[in-house]
Amino acid sequence: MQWLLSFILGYKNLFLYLFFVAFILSFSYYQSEYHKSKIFKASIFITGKISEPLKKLTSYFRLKKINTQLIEENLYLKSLIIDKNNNSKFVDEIKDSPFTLISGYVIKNDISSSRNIILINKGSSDMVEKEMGVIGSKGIVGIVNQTTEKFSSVISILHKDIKINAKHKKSNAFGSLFWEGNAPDKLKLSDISIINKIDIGDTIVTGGMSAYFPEGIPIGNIIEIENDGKYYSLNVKLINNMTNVDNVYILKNINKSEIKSLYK
Amino acid sequence: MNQYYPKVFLLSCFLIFLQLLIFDRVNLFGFVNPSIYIIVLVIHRYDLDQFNFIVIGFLLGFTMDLLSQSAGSHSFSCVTVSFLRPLITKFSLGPNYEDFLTPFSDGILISNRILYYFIIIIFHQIILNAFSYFNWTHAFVILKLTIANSIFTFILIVSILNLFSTKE
Repeated sequence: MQWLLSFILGYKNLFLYLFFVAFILSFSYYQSEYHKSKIFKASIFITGKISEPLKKLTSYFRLKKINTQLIEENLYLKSLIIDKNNNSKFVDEIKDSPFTLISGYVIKNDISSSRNIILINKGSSDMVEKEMGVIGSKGIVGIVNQTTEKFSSVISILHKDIKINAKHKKSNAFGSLFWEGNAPDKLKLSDISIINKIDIGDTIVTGGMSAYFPEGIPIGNIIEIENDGKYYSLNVKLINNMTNVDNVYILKNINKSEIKSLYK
Repeated sequence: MNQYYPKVFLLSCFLIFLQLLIFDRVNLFGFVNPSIYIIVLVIHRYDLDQFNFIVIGFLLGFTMDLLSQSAGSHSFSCVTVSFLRPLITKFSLGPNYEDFLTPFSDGILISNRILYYFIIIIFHQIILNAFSYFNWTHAFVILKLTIANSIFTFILIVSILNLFSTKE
């Protein structure tokens, strides 16, 4: 303790300088949107550089689990191929899809705050851009927020400010899906009119009304139904376990700029 | 000594006032604005505790940031200059730098004094502009502003200090 105190006092000017620099950086972060975006990019780069080797090391010990996940995913993909062969209409739909996939893996994942951010190991050099949808092997993960050359930050679906267009698979009724900030496996789907028949256990999928995600990607199952007389408010349990997302796919929508230009 | 810090406070207030009302609106050739408030950092005594000097640098810059709605560029440049000033003094005033109490002390060669002013001013300007733009793709603009502002600030500060300086 004595040693620490004398060390701090010996370098007090340097510590004071670093303290002020940290204060000034946080001041600029809140004062200017431009500085905020630049500082955020730098922090993505630094955290990415630190987290990537750590993640590589820990992922080695989880190979067995990852193998099981890959086998499950392969099974699912094979079943899709079989479906494709049996149904030519489906093949046409796939060919017409404006989405292409970029694979990546998560190097840092937060679930502890109310506004969680995920870092992935793909950046602008891999053609990743802002506002691209990100999905995991079992469902949606988030939307790309910022990119550096090698890394990107993704706003997780466990982020209080994000709302995703989703629908009830059976009835095609649309609503907004959002996270209330509580359990990391429960989301809320609101604004579904009560004229639709909803049951517990029904599947919720992406609505396809935004340029981020294609229609029909599974999100979760209904575990609780509330209604206020006009609209349902559904509690949805996520299929994708957000606490151990590893491999992700970034969705590049080739029509996004065209869609966006119509909103201007 | 007890009288010194209140004097620094009053001088800082006066210079910030002048800076905001007059020198930030000069816009010579459309972009040149001298920063005369760093006189506080230039003339601060050498024999006082550097800890206090860094605090003064921070308060000076932070007040400028708050009053000119900038995003921390003045604070960052002032704090860095006040942190690096012992090195600048050592470099510019030569091996006997510890003998001097202020930049006006007898025995400081005019060339050394000019070098001392110029290094402080150019350090302040380059950090100020680099932090304002915060992007190296604007390196040419940063360099242009730094050179132009440094020259203008240097001329003004040397003139002001020569007008009001008192020999020890």
